[in-house]
Amino acid sequence: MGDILFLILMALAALSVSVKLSIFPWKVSAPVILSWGIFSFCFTLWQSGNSFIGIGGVSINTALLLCMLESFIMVSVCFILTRQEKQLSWKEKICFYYPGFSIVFPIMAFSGYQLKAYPGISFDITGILTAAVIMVSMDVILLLIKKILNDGNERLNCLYLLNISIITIIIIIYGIQ
Amino acid sequence: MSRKQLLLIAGACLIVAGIGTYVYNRWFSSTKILVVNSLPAQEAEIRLNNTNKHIDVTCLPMSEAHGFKNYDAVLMFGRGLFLDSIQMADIREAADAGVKFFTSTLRNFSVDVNYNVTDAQKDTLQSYFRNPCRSNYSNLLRYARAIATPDKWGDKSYLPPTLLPNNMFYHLESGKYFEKSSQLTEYLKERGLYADSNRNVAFISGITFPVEGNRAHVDTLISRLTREGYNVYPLSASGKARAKMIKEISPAAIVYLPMGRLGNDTLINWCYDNKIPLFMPFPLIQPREKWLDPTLPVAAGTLNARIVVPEIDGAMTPLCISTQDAGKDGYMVYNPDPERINAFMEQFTRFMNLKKMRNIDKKVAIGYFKSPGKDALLASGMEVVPSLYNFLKRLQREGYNVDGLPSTLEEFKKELMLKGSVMGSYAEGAQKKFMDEASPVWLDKSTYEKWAKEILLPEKYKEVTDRYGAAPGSLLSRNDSIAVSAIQYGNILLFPQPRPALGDDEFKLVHGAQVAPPHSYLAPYIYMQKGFNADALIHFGTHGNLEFTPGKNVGLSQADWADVLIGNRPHFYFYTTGNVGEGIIAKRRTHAVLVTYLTPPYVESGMRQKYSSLLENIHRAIADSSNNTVSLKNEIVSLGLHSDLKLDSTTSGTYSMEELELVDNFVEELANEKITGAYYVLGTPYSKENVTTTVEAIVADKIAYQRAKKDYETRKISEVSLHDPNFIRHKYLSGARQKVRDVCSSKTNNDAESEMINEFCRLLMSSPDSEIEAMLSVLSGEPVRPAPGGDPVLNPNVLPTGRNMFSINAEATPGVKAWNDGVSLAEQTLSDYLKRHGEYPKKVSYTFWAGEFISSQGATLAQAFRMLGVEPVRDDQGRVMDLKLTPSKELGRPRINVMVQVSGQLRDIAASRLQMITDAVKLASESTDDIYPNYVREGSVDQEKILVDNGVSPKDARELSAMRVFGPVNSGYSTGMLAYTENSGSWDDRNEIVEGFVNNMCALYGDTLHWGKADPSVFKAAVTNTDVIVQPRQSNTWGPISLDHVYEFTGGLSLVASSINGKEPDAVMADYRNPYLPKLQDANQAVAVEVRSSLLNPVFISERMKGDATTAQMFGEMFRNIFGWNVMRQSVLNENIYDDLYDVYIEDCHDLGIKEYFDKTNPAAFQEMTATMLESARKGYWKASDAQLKNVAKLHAETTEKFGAPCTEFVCGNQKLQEYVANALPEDKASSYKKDISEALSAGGDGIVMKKDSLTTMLDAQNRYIGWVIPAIIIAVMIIVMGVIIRSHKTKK
Repeated sequence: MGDILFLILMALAALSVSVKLSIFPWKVSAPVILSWGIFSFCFTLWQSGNSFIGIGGVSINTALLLCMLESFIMVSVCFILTRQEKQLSWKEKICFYYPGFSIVFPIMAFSGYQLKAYPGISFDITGILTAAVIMVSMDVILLLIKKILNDGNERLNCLYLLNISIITIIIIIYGIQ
Repeated sequence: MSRKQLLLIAGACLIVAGIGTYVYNRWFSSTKILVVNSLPAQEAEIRLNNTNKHIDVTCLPMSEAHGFKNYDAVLMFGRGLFLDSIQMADIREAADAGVKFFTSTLRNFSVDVNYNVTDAQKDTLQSYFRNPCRSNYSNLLRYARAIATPDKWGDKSYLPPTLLPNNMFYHLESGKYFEKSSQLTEYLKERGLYADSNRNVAFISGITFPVEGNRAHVDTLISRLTREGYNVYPLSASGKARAKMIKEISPAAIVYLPMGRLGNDTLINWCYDNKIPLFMPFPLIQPREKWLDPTLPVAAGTLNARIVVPEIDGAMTPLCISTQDAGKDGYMVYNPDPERINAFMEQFTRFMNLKKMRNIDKKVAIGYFKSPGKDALLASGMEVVPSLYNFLKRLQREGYNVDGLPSTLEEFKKELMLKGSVMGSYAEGAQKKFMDEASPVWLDKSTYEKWAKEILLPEKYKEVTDRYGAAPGSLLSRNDSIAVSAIQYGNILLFPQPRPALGDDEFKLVHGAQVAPPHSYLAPYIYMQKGFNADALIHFGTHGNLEFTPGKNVGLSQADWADVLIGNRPHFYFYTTGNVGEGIIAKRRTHAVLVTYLTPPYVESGMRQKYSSLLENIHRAIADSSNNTVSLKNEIVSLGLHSDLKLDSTTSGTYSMEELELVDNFVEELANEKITGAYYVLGTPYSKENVTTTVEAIVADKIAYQRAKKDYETRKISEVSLHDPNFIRHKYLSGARQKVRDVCSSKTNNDAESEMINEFCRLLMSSPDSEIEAMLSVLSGEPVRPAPGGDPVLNPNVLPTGRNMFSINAEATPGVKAWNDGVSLAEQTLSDYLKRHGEYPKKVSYTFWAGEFISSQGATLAQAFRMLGVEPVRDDQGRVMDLKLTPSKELGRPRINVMVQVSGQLRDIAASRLQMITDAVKLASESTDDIYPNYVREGSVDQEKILVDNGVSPKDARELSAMRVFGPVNSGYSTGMLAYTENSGSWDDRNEIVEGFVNNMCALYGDTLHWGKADPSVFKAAVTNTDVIVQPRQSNTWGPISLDHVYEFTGGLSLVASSINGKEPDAVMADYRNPYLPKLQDANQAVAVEVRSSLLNPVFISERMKGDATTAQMFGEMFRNIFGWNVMRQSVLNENIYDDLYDVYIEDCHDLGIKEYFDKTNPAAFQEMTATMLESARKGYWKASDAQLKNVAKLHAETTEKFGAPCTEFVCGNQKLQEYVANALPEDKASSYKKDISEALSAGGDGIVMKKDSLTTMLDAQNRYIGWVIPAIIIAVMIIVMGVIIRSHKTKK
């Protein structure tokens, strides 16, 4: 049960970051996605030299804690961002441009899965494959979100609900442990 | 300034810079010279003698040599040079660009890489190389600069080569050379370094080395030998010149720092004819810390040149006397080790003194081997007590002081059993009795500690006290003194080698822990050195355990137990010729001179007569199916053969043709099985009958095969028949055997066959004398001639015995014949498996042993290579330096994955071959031409996956996925599971055996990076999916029942594989016993053949009953081995085996007088046998009836009552068994039995309860606990922060 909840949590974290990214114009979100792709490639190569303790060397509980912290930040962002970009104060701009980092954990987990799934394949190829899947997935999800959720407010509402869900699941996982 | 101007200036600067660079490189830069494959000492000499600042020298080993285009000249040392195809391509490319290449070659080397140099230039360069001195090293570089970069500005001067005399005498003074020994003699006399009364020593340091510099180790030895009172003649020469110069000196001894052989057989024979001993200490081209690291093997080239090949000459004292370490300039210089130099000098001096001493004054210590308790003295194939007695009597006749030696053998035996016993740590009662009655040698604590600290390094002694407490320890100690089991007759000291560990530590040995020996083990050796002050030490018979204590495999130091406990005494070892693999270890680790002794004689098994009628009937049925009748089937069933072959036993119907052929092959095996008779007694020739039967065993197959070959050459038989062992046996064997019998009974003919037969008769008759003569000679400071070792049937060249065994050159394995044998056996393994299962096996696992490796010249290795689909690549000298893939099309089948487990002995002698297996696996995994499945690649991927799933990082898992070679941990020598398995009261679950085996055998020996690292997960991954296990077999002196190591290794691996895979793999034996027709033998059949031809064969039993206690002990050992097979792989045994053994040994169905024999010779052996049967019943391996159990228990208890508890480990160490036995006895007998056991175990009347030492690994559970407190606090803080933000937002609005 804990494993399933954890997988759901990873998915929601990835979705939350994607929704946050959808608030940006493409010229901002594209480099962010690219950087996540580069990160996933580098991380895959790094992970190949390490055993699979936790997620990328980070214990599960620490990952949950960090996800929870980010969720609180995202919830705060939802409340703060009510005006258009050009009118934001510097504090609000920080909230606006905060890309979300909890996607790191789903990337790490996916990278680990890839390494285990393809024994015998060169690690470089595995890394490239991982990066490609991450980038393409994020692009597709971003496109879908922009299409389905036309309005900025709808996206913020979605972001809010996702992060409340994340917090709830984390509390449940703590309870199960 | 405009932009255009700026660009112009920039462009001009670039052009000027470019031209400047070109001009600099072309005319002004240094000449770059690359030197490849120099030894570190040579590298030092070259660099230090570079006197031209316009020369940049780089020295690289051959494996790192690349980028040749970046140099102006490349100079290569040709000795041992091997360049791969990539390097050769690189060289050609560089040569095309004008780089000069020169290789300094010796004769017979075809690696001759010379480009862009004229013949005159080659001659000049060669001259510099071949005359190594400071001037020439300097001018070599200068000359290379002059010819490679003649246009360069700067000093290009050079001097022509200084020619050193090719063959010369020299001494300590640099630059002083002498052509004749007489000139050196004059020189020595002038300096007071010569005396007429001194003996001459020839000191050979090499071919052209060392002449100047970097020779501290040479100078040290010359000085020390001179100081010891010898006239020392150092010489540098090769070939005939060397031989001539040695003979000129007429030395009393030769000291050679070996690099290959001292000389050809003519020179060696001359040395032995003139009784000149050969001492061969060696310098190591390795830093000190690497030398001292017990996990690092000696490099293959060094091992071969410095140790293996000199053994062919009969070299003694293989001590490492110096290392190469970085000097203050950072260059590698020879660094003599003072302690090792002292050790060598002491061994040399003591050996040479043996020549001068009178026999009556010589003190000789003789260590023998014995099981604990009342069991017999042990030696493989030798009846120890009469042999020892014979030897002592002979010493007496030769004038040694053996005062007090009993006048009869019986008295001697009684005294040995009383005073020269070995105690188990569990037998406190027996210990007390010994200390009270046996008059041991008492060492008080202060004396023992003083001596121990003189001999041992402080950290080694601390290891002992840390583990066992302060002296005198817990075994055989009383009142702060330690009792040493020993008997002294005049100047001869006899002592048994004690147990190398105690109590729980014997279980810890199971875990492969490095265990220091206890005080009780050290004490006799310390006493031998310091108290008795032996002039020489003899170990009597094969074999003890000192040479298998953990530590370095060759070139031992004072930190190794095997070296320090022998001390610097000349060490001689009576060793069976049949066990060359372990003999070599004794030689290298305890600097022993081996003196081989004969195996027991081969005797007629009687099986042929027993089954002749059945064989005839089977052959008739095979020839004509109408003769295949029900009565034939009944005949087979009545003989019990169906249960060995797992055929049905119903009395209706007949066997199929296939089944009949199976029975035929099995019965043929039985009929031709060679068995040995009563153990050999040293100094006692075989009887005439035994000579005949032994010669028959040696030559009958050879004669049969030669006759068949002749008929094949004259087209009388086909090639198929020539390779059919059954055909050869039917048609030629009986004629060959008859010929042997005729010749041996003096009906001689004058043909080649008769000559051969007579020669073997002579060699066998003369061997017993040769053995004792050889030992007497070596005790008089004379050398023992070298000889190969092994089973005389397989290798008759081992005769006569009484010689010093040597090994083989592992670099040349697999040999050509070995390769062909290996291929044949590998393909047979696959075809048999395919026939049985309808598909190829995915993985075949091998056990490699040193003896088999040596005897078969690496055929075992060849099998593994062939499975993988790779083949050896040989150089001009026949060494296997590389491998190549056999094309998939040519292979014609999938590449099969392998896994190899090795004994420590093999690891020590063939490290480079083990690394080659890993190379082969990688090569096979990466093949791209496969038209059949590649199970090697699949296996590597699977192995990687398993390791990743077990938490290994993917990168490490990928590296480890090619690892297939495993062996004992902590530089050990065996699985460590024998004692544990047979101590069956201490474990209940076979999984404990599995875990123990895995933990002990999981050391990786596939490459230098991971060498010796223990990793159970890799081992388990490598064993996964094993379909077949192969055990090599190349000696007629042992079989799967008579040798415990077979169940230990092959059985153990089978158990592990079954446990991991959930199914038992097939088990076969690669049978090399007939050198003409190697074949595969099913393990079940091998066991069945041996059991029927030995343990259940009245002829065998009667023969063995002619022997004494040690022979009787063999029965107990075989029973224990059957128990071992029950634990490891029960399916290999016939389900009725215990019932059969019961009939023969308990009921004595053949009326052989079994009980009387054991009562007379060795009651402890009978107790062991009955105990094993009872333990098997207790464990459920034998479904004995009540009557059987009661009967066995009764006999066991009666023997115990009559003769006392034997205190062997199987009986006295197993309380559960004792209770089981007691429960099977009537009450009065039970209490009497318990009392007898208790007396032996307990000193104070209370019994000892053996602690159960479980091998179950305790898993550490890591609790990751993060309390609720922290997240609760964080949640609370975040809620507050959110509230503040929302409130401030609303306020702003």
